[in-house]
Amino acid sequence: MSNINRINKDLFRQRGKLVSIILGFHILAIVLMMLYKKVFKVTDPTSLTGGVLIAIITGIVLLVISVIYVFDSSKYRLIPISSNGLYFSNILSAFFAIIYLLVGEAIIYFGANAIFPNPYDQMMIRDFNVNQYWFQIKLVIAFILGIMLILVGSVVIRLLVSLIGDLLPIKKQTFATVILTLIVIWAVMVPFNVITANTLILLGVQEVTTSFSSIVRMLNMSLFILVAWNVVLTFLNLYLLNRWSEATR
Amino acid sequence: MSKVLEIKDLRYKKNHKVILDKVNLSLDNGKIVGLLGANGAGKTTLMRLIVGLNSKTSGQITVAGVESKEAIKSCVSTTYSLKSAFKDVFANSWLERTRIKDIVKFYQTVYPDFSLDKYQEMADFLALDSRQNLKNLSTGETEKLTIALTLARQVQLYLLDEPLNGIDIMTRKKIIKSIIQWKNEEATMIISSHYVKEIAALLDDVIIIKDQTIYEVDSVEEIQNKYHLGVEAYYEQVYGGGSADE
Amino acid sequence: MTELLKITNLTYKKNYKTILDNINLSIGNGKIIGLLGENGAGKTTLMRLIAGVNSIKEGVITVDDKTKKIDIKKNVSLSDELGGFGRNTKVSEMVDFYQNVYPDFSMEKYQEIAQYLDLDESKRLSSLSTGTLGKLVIALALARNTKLYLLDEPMSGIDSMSRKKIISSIIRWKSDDSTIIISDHYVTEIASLLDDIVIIKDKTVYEMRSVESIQEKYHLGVEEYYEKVYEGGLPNE
Repeated sequence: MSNINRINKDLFRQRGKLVSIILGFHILAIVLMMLYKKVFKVTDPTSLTGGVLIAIITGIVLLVISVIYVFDSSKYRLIPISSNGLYFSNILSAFFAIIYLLVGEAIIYFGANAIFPNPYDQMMIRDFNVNQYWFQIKLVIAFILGIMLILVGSVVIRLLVSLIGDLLPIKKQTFATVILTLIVIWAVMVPFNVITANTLILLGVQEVTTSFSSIVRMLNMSLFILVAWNVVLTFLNLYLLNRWSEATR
Repeated sequence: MSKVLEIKDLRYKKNHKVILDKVNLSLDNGKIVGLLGANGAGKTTLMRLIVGLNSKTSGQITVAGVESKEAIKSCVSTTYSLKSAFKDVFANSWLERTRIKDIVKFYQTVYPDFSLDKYQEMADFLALDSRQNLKNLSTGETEKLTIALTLARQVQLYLLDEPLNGIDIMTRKKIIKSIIQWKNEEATMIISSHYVKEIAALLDDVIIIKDQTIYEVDSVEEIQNKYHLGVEAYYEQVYGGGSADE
Repeated sequence: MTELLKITNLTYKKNYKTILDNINLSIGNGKIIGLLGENGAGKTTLMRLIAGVNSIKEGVITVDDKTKKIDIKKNVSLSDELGGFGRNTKVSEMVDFYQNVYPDFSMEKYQEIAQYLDLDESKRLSSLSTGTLGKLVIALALARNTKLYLLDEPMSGIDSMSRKKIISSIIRWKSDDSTIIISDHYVTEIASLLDDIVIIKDKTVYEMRSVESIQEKYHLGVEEYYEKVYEGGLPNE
């Protein structure tokens, strides 16, 4: 157990730093924008939603790169810890990094709105405050699970590509790897879509109406499916990691 | 005497090409062993297989009596960890500045057997400056750091993959000296190098890899007594195909 | 004796750090010269400056009485790490490239050397071992008919069998009036090739002297002498 704590310490620190830098840049960008508007007397209101979106997407992309890198790197693969331990430590630290990113962005968003109010974002906030707390919490959870699925899915694709690349009698060539990645992504997406769609039908979501109750039901189904996929892909990852994968860097 | 490393029928294939086949090896405690072979013979692959960075196609690897990958990692210290730190995605970018200090801290957090005292001693001897940035290190300094970090772990098996490659003679002598000085008695060390003569004085045994397998394991003494040859001359003869196989 | 390479007051700085300071050097025709110095001393930088790959900040480099970069490039063959080629490139494609861009590249000479070193033209760069790559670099560098060859650590990381072949191919395919400057960390191994050595220390040329004079004066091998210079154990007249 102590070894897991050791690597956790390193990964949590590293990812915390990554997210902090993104948040810092975002704050800096907002401050600069406001200064610009003050100096040049621009009075058009500016929405902050776009910035939040960009920050979250950047964060997710960097986390995906960093999660995959850990499995490629001898630096991490040599640490005396089981592959499962390394995997969970890696994914868990990424999970907390995402929470940190989302909470941080929320604070920045609401904080910036309080200091520099603008009509667009006030409308957004008003729309979201519909007193459906349970619904809102579920929505946030679905969002986080979706991001986790992106992370776990990226690892699956990375591991599958290198496994297939090793089995095929082709030399590791950049072009072949790109093609292979596209094929694997496609091959993973097809059953993913089919199974997800069929499960939705099985669970009784045939007609999607705009009524609130059907949206809630839809959300519940999505939550269930997201959890299921995360679990399935995690098992696949653990198998690939233990049996096949090699450190490449 | 107990065996620190045992390999049975190891086989490794990649892209349908056999890289290593029918490798059998058994090493005792407390030795310094040279791993020799032409470029591309599979020396690095063998070392990476031992420590579990590459996954074997079939066969068995036992280090100090243990077989699980996790347990092996805690009794083997290699040079690959630092080499990959240089290829870190975020290191050396504006996101992260890695100094020697940071790497030492990483080793300290991650390896329970890392001895900071031992590292400090070696770093002083090799004149390493802990404030230096990883990307500003010259080839010689990089290799010094690698040796100091690798040897500062207290384990039973050390794997040093070409620790002297591209290094000037002054630094080489220092590295060899520190290997002698800081290797503990019971530990076994495998060193690969293309300059056999230079490390020959260190070595107890040599392993020669040829034709995808271990051609032979011999003690240095035996080579001298039997063939009246230096290690390097003998090794070249093996590759020249001129060695009379008894 | 004519002077093939002449360097006067060359200083090179990068990021406000002096790499080479006030280099003066003059080298004649038909020699093999060892360029010695510790890691980070500036051997590679000096070679790249001579070949015109790095730009000269201060000072003058003359090769065969010419100072223009274009003229120098015509007369200098620098062993290239081949980093500019994709990993997928076939050996034959690289040879074609050399033939196209260097008018002095001799296909016959290359073929001869390649045959001697067992180079397979149909292979791709990514599938070559370090040893074969080193052989290829040498074959390409030597196949040009120029006056000055710069070989930067041609044997680093290469097994001893290949090293011996590389050394013998250098001896065999060097024309009599051309000069080779070679750097390597295993001085003893190349010592038998060398006429003169140039030692770089403290960012400048510490000295240039002939191998003979070292043996006569100090009764030392080249490597021992070089080490002594670095350890400061030598009385400098």
